[in-house]
Amino acid sequence: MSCRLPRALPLALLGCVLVGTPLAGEKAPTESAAVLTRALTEAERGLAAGELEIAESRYRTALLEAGLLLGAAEASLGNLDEARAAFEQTTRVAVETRRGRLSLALILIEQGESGQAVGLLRRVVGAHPGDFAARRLMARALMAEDRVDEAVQELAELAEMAPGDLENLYLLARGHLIQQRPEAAAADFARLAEARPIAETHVLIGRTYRDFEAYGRAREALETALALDPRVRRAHYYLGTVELFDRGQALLESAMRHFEQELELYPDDPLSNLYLGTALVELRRHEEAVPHLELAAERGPSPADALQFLGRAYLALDRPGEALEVLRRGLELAEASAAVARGPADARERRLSSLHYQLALALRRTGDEAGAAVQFEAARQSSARSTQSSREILGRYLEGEPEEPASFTSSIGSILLPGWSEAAKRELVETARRALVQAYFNLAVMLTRSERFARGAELFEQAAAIDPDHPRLQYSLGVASFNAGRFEQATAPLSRALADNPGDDALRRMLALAWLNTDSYARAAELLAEDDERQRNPALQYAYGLALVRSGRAAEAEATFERLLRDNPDWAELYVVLGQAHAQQDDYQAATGYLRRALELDPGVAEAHATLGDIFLRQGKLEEAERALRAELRGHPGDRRARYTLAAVLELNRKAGEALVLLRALLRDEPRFADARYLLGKILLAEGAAEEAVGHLEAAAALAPADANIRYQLGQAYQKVGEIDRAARQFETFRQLKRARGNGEGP
Amino acid sequence: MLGAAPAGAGAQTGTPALTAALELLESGRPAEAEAALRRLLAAADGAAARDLLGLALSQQGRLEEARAQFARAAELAPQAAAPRQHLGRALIQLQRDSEALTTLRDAARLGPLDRDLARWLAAAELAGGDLAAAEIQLRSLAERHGSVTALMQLARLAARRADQEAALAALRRALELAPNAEAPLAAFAQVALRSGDPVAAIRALEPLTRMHPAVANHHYLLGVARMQVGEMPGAEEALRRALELDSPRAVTLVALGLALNGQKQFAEAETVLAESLQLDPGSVEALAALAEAQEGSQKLAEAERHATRALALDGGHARAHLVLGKIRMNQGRHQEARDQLLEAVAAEPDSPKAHYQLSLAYARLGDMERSEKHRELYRQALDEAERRLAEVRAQAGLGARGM
Repeated sequence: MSCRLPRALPLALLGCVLVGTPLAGEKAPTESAAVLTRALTEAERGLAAGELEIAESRYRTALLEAGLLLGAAEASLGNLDEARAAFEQTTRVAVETRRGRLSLALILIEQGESGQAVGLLRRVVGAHPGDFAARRLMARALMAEDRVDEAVQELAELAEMAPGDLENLYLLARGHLIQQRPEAAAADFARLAEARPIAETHVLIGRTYRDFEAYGRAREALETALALDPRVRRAHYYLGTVELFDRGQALLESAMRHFEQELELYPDDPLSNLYLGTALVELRRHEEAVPHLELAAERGPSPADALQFLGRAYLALDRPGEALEVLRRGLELAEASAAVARGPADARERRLSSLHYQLALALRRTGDEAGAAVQFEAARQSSARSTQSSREILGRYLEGEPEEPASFTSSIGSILLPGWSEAAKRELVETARRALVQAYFNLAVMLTRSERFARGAELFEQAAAIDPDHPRLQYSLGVASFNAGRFEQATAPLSRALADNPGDDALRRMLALAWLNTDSYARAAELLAEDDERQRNPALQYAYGLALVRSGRAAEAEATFERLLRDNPDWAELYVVLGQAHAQQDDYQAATGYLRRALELDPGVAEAHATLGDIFLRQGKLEEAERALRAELRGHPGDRRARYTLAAVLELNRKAGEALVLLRALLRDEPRFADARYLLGKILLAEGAAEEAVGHLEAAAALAPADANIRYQLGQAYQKVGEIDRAARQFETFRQLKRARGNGEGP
Repeated sequence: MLGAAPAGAGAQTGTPALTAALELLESGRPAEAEAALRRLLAAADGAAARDLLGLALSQQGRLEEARAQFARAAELAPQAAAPRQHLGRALIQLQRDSEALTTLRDAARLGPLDRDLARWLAAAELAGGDLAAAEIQLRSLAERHGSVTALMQLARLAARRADQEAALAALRRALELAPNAEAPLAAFAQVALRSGDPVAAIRALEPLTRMHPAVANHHYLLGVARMQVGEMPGAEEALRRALELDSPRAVTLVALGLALNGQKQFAEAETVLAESLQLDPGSVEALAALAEAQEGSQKLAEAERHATRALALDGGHARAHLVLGKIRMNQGRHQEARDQLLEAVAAEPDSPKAHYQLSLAYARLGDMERSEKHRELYRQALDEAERRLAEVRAQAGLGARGM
């Protein structure tokens, strides 16, 4: 026995359960929406009360609930990739991941990635072996992976855990049918029928047997259904299809009787009309076929098929104009569905071929030979793509086509948000997206207020990915990125924010500085050129000058700096920069002049004393250097270079104890500062603490392997602790490094 | 916001005139309320009217006048909490912190403070070093207002006095109220790690690393916690992630070195640990771990050198003794090995490796009874380690790593 139809799970009769209902959600969508609203309200309340942790937690709850709703809505609209992304995101926003993972697994199964779904579900089931819903979904994923034995094992265990769960029992029965264990399946179905002794249960059983080509059992179940309730829906219809599938043309008349009986009870049933209509066409009873096919074409799930047979009937009745119209429509629908269909390709090609062929006949009948030739050729090509004969029995012709999407398939659309209108689903998408943006935005604001700009920027980016036009979002993202030092990332949102609000001067300046920091000097210069504030703000003027120099406009820059000095004769920082530039060129006299001028203007200006200290040290004026460096550190105790230079001066001034204290503190803050590490090791060695010195000097050598002085000191240290071989190796390295630098002797 | 209900004492309480004044205040008409209250007070003085008048003045930004009215109300009704709370709030707004502190302490003796005042008083007491007084206010905030911020502070205070149980209890409550918040999760993980419960720590750290994948410290702590339960590949993964996210820290490198040692990847561990020693040359942990890696690579002289250096800095370091013990075993110096391994066991009685090596040393020395005893202790320690690993695996699904 083999499964002739896709392994769709007709769960509707037993009550579906998935996202939004107990399997993945344990919360109906309306309930989830209520949780979402409450979470957002409580988050706002937490913010107002200064309870930032509560606010953060509730915003994250909102992200979770909104993500689940968004995923469910997208999935039910058929947007599986969007649903997948939404569900994936829910696993990264809150402590809880279960619902997101289950929903994601469902999408993966739907997308044919059931192997990945199995891996995902194993995490959930591994952590919670009693999670019934997860395990059932796991069984489904295993089934989709053709790992039937594992799936059935899982379902059997679940049946023991919850013997009253009818959906599980049904799935187990299907599993047994796939395993070709009809007796086991029959026992499951018997339990199912006992638990729900109604006609509909037997219809479901009969249909399932039919799907697995167990026609005898199918007839038996469907007849039992009719015995229990002669008016039960679909029993006659399925019996009709059983006759067709089982014996084809031989039982066509018998099949037709069942379809007629079904239509006596439910005259508008589209599938029964379709099957009866097509059967009548096969029997050349075209006049009788037409009304059935017209109804099926209008209301049925497979209008292309109905139109194709209707076209044939019209042609046979010599109504070529009408035939032409319906066949063209049928072809249009068939081509559209072929583009997105996931069913067997053969069936699609056969249908296309037949439609082209019928259309060709209709065109020829209306005298359009050229058009007919085109359609004959298209029919030939479609036919060639089909590996099977187009002359197949009627029952096989419709194989692989959906029968009753609303009730009998497991497509995401039918199991997520059941009963929701298209418009309501779209509205839900928008609601969920708005909630996501609000929650991401507010979380980002909380982070930036606590000066965690990089992380804030990441959350603003999440919000911008959903709704880039959200008010103030681009501005906030740009500012957060700027403050995080992520200038590259800041430029795009700042540019966009500036385009929205070109009169915002502060924003323009920030963008200019961002361009400056990303070496886009011309753009920075362009933005700063027309900034009036530049005339009052020397820092801006300075930035402008720098941008001009770096963008090759040195002449304009010179004028800018001249103007800067002329217009800002009291700008201390400017003198410091000029002093440093001259010191770099060993023009100590000019440098000292600029630096002293800076200090006259602002005794607390950063780096002026430190630069002077450096100059004095180079000149061997140790007392003056020490005084200058101490002055710098009084104003700016965190200046790492000043701390190190002062330690070096102290060591030279025979104040090793203080130097050690200074260096240890510095290295706590800057453990990779090789010069400081070396100096510490050197002083320790001189003070007789050779063991400790070894560690620091080894570290310094690793940080700056080409520094000959470190090697020399390390060699000395090894000598002191009695590691003579190591000492020799270090001295040798020292000599090699010196030679490489063209310098003969020791330090 | 009017804050605490107006003073309950005094003959005017509940009179229609007072009720009308209160309604005016609540509807944002303080000037009219002031006029009504002044008429009332002209007829008869009373605490409730003074208190309401203070609120009316306060709403109009006339804080000094409001303060005077609250102070008078407090004099008239010495057992009423509300005027004192209002007075305290006015003093805070006037930046007269010292007086506010005294007033709010008095008010707190009469009844629980409003949320903002309790928070202010707790912060003031903390700043002044009176932790017990701060704790009273924090408890009030936690219990009456469900304040997670207060619970976090209570946890910090408990941790400061090394009461890990109390810290964990406060953080558990905080996580009930704010299950997705980063700070309580991170604090819980840290306290759980400190109190020797890495499984609980992992339960907090796995969601943290999912929700905040760019925070290096969460990955670092997850690596440490996984290492503590013996989940070495998971530890390595988390620690490498931490190193990718942040500039290398010595402690992270040491942890990674230990995780690599735990997987017998000694050569790589040696590289990592050498880098850690560049950052912190005096780290005993790094020296001992490096010695372990070198011993694993059969670089026995190097290993001995680093283990000896570690022991020079910390004579009771278990791992350094273990490494030296193994080296001595390798050299056939079984008595010295035994002595080192006894030190290792004394320093870390739960170490399966140390018990195992010691059982071998005793066996080589012919002391089968002690050898068997330590073999049994080794099995017990191993069982315990495996139990914890199984617990982690169960909680995390199939592996210890999250999604």
